[in-house]
Amino acid sequence: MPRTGSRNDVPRRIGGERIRELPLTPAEGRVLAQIDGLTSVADLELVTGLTADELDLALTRLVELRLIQTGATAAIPVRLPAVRHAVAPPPRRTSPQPPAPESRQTAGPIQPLPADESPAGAADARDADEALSPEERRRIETFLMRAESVDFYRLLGVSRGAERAEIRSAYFGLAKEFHPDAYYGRDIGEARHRLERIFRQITRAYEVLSRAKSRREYDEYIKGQAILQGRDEEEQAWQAEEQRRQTPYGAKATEAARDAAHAKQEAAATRDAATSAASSPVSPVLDELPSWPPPATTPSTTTAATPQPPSPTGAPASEPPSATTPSASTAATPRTVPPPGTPAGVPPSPAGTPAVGARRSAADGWQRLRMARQLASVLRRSGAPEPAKDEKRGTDYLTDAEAAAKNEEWGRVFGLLEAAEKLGLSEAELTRASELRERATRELARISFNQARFSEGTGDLGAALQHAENACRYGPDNAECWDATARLWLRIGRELHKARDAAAKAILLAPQSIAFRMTLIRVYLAAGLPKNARREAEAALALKPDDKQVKALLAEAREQHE
Amino acid sequence: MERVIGIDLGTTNSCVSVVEEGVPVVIPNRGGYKTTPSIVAVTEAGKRLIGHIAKRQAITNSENTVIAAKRLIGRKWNSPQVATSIAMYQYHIVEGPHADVRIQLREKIYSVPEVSAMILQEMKIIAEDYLGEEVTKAVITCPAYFNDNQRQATKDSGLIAGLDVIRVINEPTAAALAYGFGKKIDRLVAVYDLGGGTFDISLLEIGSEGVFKVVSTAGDTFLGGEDFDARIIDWLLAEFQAQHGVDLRQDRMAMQRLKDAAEKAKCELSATRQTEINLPFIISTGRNEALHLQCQITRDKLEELTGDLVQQTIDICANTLDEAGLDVEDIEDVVLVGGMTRMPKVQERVADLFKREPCKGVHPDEVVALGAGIQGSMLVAEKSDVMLLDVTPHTLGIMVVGGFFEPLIPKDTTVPTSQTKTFTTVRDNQTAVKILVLQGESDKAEENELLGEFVLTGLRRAPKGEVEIDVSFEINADGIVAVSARDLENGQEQSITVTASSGLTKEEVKEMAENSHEYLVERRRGEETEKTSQEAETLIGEIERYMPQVEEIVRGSEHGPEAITKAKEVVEHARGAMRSGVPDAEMKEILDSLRRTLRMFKAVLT
Repeated sequence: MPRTGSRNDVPRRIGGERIRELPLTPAEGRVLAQIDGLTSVADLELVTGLTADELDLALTRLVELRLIQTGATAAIPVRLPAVRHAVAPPPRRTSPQPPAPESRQTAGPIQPLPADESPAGAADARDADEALSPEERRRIETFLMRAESVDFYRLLGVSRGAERAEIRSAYFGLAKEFHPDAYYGRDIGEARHRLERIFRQITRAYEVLSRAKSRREYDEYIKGQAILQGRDEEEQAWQAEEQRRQTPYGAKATEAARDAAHAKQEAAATRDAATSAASSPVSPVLDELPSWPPPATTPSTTTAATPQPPSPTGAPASEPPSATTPSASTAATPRTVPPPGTPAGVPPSPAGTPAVGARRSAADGWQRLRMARQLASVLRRSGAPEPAKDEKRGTDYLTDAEAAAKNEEWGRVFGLLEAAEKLGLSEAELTRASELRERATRELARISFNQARFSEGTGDLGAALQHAENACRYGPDNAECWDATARLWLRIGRELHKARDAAAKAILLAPQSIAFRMTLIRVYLAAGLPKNARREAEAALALKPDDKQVKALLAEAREQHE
Repeated sequence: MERVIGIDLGTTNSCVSVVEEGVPVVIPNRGGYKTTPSIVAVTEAGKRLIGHIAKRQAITNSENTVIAAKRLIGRKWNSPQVATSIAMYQYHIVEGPHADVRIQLREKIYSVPEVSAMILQEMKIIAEDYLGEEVTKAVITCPAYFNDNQRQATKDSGLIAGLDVIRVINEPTAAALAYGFGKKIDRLVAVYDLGGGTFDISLLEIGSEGVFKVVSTAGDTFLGGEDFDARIIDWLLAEFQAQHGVDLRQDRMAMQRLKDAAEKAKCELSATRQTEINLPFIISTGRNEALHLQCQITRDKLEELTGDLVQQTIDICANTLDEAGLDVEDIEDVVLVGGMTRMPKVQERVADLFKREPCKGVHPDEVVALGAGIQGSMLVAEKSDVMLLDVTPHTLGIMVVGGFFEPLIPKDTTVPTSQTKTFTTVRDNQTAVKILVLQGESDKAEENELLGEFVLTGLRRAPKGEVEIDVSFEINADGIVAVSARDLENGQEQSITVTASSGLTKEEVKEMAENSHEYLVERRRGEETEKTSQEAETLIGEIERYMPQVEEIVRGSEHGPEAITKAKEVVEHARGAMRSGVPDAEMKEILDSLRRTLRMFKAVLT
């Protein structure tokens, strides 16, 4: 029997065929229908329910008919891995593949290696694999994926209401399995690093969840994350609707309906896969939660690509940046901190790990579903753009927003209000809406501020800054938010003019606070502007003449000036 | 499976254990004691003495008797602790070639790890005698608050002693391991370890799964029983001076006697409320008049003299609880470790602080060695029931602009762990950065311990702040620190595995290990000779005891007188050989002829 290739090969369709006109057996048709360029031969066996020999025969014939190509394919971008998991393997055969979805993702031939795995590491891993039993390897792979994708509760396998003792017990069980000492004296090569990564993450999870304070903050963080995500969705829904208002209704409505159906299917499939993996039913919103803390995005990575020197632009010209004279013996100064979860030296991949990718696409799916639903509902109610009916629609949104406010879904409130106001509201409704908006922004500012503080605590300055800036956007008259933003820019050590602006804003809002003034002094010192620092320090001392810290800063400013 | 011994290398006493059939046991030394004094001496004849025997001769040979070498291990010559030790001890502490500390014994100068190695070698021999097989693998304990240089020096000591040190673990952690071993308990415990030279406090979570997780640890590596002794000595000196107007400090022998007496009084005061210190003829004055030191010391007096030392330990405990975010109510048990915890005042203060009576179930002198033995056997076991999750006791980081210390891995982080931070250049056209790896809690780089350094070169010439460098720290399960720096632009990378410096180079350690091995071989041979001469001695004794009787019986027989003469010759020859020393083979022959003679004698008598 000629083999068409190895079980890990991924057959692809060549395309252009007209399936109905082909002389195919039902089995061959079934195989062909399942070939999507993502499913490996081994998986096809599961999916089609054929025996290896039957499948082989079918594949050979399909190749002969020049309908498909086989052979291990080079990385095909995984567009929707979620769809693949939607196809459940039939239960009639014992699976040669590990059953957990997480491990299938790595076991599958087309998946890229986990984003932060170096190629050298991959080669070692193969050697090391031989030292591990299949069961050990499976456990390690499964947990490596988990460690970097699911939230802390699910990583430890406890419920959100778990008692401390339960969390400890869960962690200790995992620690015993994944501490590298469990493999002491065994040469397991690169797998040791994987163990270390798993161990680090479960330890972090435990340390956060085992202390009342950090656990509360983390819960808040998850909740906040869900709320903020909700807000994004609603905002996008609104944008989509805006777009609709400028395009012919019919085409868009059909598209929306189709999108809705598609998105719903995808989202449901992904959720199934995710829930079955975690074995605990979690609300869909939480399912969308990306790895925590979120991969450092905008501030750290994008600016890293286009580095900008700390530019004191906008500062008085009398203080040239060259005023800084660093000591000769030293070399470096602290700057940004990538998320602690990111291992050494590997830039965070934009695509993230496959699991994160899957999650993202799940989130996409949900987003599209919600957008589509909104569109559909709007379209149902309108039919045609009549101003009179617009008013009513605005009222509807306002009512929805008020209901959402009761549920503390501030993100939704924000989005719904935006929609309501744009669609038009009466005078009284506008007052109600603006009150509600004020409350929503205040709440969002508070949540963002908390997120920022929490991220800062975990050392993820990039995320912290993002949250702090959001907090400033929602609550522009909260001095604390501005001060936090300033301090974060200062800690990151980039774009110090932004730090200065934020610090100045904080002082403007709360002129009596010495702490805020000290932030500004520090910013000036960091930017090498001792004159400005001195001026600010003197102003601060005028408020509180014997503040030791300010005096120390003043002395530093004088020293720098000389 | 190869056996692994656990060694508690203490400041004043050391202890060795092994796990037998799943049960950890302390191995007694030849004298039957479970602990061996960590004392090394060299006699006038150049003979090396270790343990009890070294302790006994310390008074007459104080200049060549090393006590509390652990207080010097891994320290720099110019550190204040070394200066204190020089003032406190009678032996000669000198500067080594790498600004390290060396000890002069007679004509020879030894490094501190060499001295510690002598003690470890003794512990190794104790274990080998007990087990009847060679032992090469060991887990050694060290104070939790030891820094990496001190740990490395401890490892080097093991290496010099011919041991493969598979892990260095913290003393309080080891104690907790022994305390919770096989108990199936879920508990948060505090281990208060006040030993001869160091103080440690560790908080641990013990899980019934057999997991021991260190939550927090702190201490003082220069605070222990030795300091309590010093307080008593100072008091005695002052009393004596007030009484007789004589300063005993000038007399080394007197000082050593004082030291002994102070230690003894301290121990006695744990059981009684008052004791007498009686040192007759402590010194003679110029007019040939002998002075005696005789005084009473009460427990209250001792507590008054050492109150601040106890307070220091209590402060550290309170601070640690605070830093860990725990209340005393969270602590479910308190374990006392180290001989100093026998002092009633210490127990009282600890009980006051933790609002509970300390656990009495562990032996303060043996528990650390037992824990080390358990960890050793668990590491090499196929499937282990016990898992130890330890922390890094000090903050790790690098030096940044302005001489400041930038932490990367904070103290009390569970290992293995890793952390990365991005740094940038501070000067225009800077093409290289020097990474100084430091350990400690001070903001100022210079106040922390330097673990290692390296340079990353080939940076792009650019205005300051433009070139970015990622610095990564990684600590693996063995506690080994690896640091790498990477230019984010061109991907260039430099890294080092931080081999903390024990004060010795690799070559030196290797050479010392060889010397120590030679010594061991010689010593083993010496022991062999000792054994044969002892046997010969016994045989001769017996032969001579039977001689008159046998002579009486065989006198009349034909070959009788001849046989007696021959027997006398054999004895004479043996005596001569033992006096002058002969090769092993010849000695064996002599033994054989002695045995034959004795057999013959016995045959005649029956």
